[in-house]
Amino acid sequence: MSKNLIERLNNGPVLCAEGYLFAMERRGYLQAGPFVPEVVLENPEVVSQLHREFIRAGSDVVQAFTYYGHREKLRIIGKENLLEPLQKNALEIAHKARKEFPNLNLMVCGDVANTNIYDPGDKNSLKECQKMYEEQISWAKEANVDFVVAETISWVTEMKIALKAIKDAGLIAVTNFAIPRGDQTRDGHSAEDACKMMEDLGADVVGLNCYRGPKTTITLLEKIRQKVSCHVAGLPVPYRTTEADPTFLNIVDKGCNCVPGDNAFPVALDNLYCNRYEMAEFAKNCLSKNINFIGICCGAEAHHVREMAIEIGKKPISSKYSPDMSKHFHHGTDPSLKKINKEIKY
Amino acid sequence: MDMKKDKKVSKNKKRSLIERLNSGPVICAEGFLFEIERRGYMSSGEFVPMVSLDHPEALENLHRDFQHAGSDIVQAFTYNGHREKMRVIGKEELLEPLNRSALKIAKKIAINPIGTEPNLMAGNISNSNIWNEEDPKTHKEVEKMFSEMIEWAVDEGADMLIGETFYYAKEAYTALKVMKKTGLPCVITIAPMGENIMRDGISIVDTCKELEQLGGDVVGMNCFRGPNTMMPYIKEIRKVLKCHVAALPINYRTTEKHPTFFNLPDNNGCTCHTPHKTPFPTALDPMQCNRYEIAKFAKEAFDLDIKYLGVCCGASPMLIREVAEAVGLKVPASKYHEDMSTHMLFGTNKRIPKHQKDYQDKA
Repeated sequence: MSKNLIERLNNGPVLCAEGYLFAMERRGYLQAGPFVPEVVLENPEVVSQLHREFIRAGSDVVQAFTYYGHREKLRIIGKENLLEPLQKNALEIAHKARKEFPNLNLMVCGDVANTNIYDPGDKNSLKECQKMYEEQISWAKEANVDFVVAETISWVTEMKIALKAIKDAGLIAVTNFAIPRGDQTRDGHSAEDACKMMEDLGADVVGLNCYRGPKTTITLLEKIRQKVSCHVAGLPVPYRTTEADPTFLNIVDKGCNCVPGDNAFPVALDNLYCNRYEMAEFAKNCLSKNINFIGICCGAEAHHVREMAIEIGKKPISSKYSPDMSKHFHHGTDPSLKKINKEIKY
Repeated sequence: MDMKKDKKVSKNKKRSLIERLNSGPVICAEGFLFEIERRGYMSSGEFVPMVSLDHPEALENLHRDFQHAGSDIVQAFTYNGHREKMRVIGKEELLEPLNRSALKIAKKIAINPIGTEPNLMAGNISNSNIWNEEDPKTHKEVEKMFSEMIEWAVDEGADMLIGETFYYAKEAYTALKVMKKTGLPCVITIAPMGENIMRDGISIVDTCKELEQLGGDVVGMNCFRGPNTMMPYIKEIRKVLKCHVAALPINYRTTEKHPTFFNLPDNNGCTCHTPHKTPFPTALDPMQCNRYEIAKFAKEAFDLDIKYLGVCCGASPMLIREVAEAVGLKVPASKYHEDMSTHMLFGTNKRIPKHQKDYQDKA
């Protein structure tokens, strides 16, 4: 099987597990708020373990965990000196994870993201963004990634800078927007127009990631699919966002008054989680609409990824451990189970 | 460096469970079944911890994550790894290797702590699912199942024993009797079902009283119930017992109508098809408690002098950290406690551009 993303997408769905930030936070190795992936330097074996889980669950892509490991983020936590080692280590960890599974034809991708310094009123910030993207992409290229994802970007102009940097390096580019409430980029374009612009500028895959759950992502993806002719990507967060609260950045958990400040984002989203079957449904939905780059973002765990993989016809390694309720002591049907444990209502 | 506050411990000295409880809270991470299932190393439903044989590295990593999050105890992952379960899945010959492997892995992590004081390695027995009130033959069989597992645990160097998730009072008594023979400190926790009484008709509080009489060093509740439906009973238990009390709820929002997670419905916006009769066990995600609820439970329990604390099925390492911090401990993972001051929208740091801060409500 080819490692060329476009050929792979021409042949069927490609699954891409993301969401490393939240998963590492829940495991106690990454701080919410700054969300800087220092874990790739401090506890690299924990990142390897997560890569392994996502691969075993059916992800075709090992994304180097460089999201938010960029110059501005390291500056704000006062550790700019760690930028290059962090980036390079993340890329190396991803490659090592791929090597553990030589039979799977995994692709490794680099990642650039929202800089948080882009400011349309400040020309200087455009130059800064460009420099940030170029340095990261040069390290990714040095590490022989199969493609680069530019993601979670909410400004068309910022995405243009990222896209140009990827294409100038001669790499395959996936450009994924994160669309805030109001269904427009921050510079006022619809999701489909923004994606069309990227296609016209040479993006190989265009689409959406993060911020929105499956329900508020799929409606925008449908419009994007109609507008562009290249491959389309969809990587929602596994949370139950609604029309009223289309993103997880501002969302209330109505079943609880225990959250400081009332916003469930980012550390009290648990009760708004999607279960694995909802994520599988999203994946199936994408496939039926010819959206072939399918994935999941912040909040993902391997159980979501596996169910998505199975739903789109893959047979991931960990499907060996798909639920089997026939042997459950209370709900099971195995003839050796005790009747006494089944007749009571728990 | 010992990260724990108020615990001046000389290098490498390992205090017993009781010494630790007499001087402060003790944190015990459980819930390995659900976490290892989410990570893709175990079948839900079947729930047999084959992982200690099939993927020992994944189990080691899990123990390390919980140790880093502040668990004082490394509980060997032998829950459901008993003769009856192994029989159901047709792998009885793997019973002893599975138990020994799980115990060895737990021991390895326990003697390699992040601070200086080694963790306590705990052997573990649990609900057999064959106990039948009417059939004394099953009582003998269960006793045999417990005895062999406890023997292996002692053999592999357990520092303490945990008997847990019992919903028959008399099965719990049997477990405790077997455990007590070893002379090791014994924790015994019960898991009453939705009828709020043990299945052999004994009340929750009376069961705990009897367990104290039988020599349980720590007596309490674990699993099946979230904070809301465990707290009322654990309060009662604390009032009538003199020994240390344990509370390890699941992190799901159980209700008075649905006191356990077995029949907890998803009234939280589910529109998708789930293959099982109930959201239990694979579609419970949207009924989870957040960290603040778990911390609140732990604090409230600790203020009542309930000192043996943890979280059961559903727990992530982060929740264990929250429990530890709620009772005043600082653990290795505290380094990563949330800090929103540098967040790109909600932060207050001076480097966050104004147009980002101004945008936070629109995102």
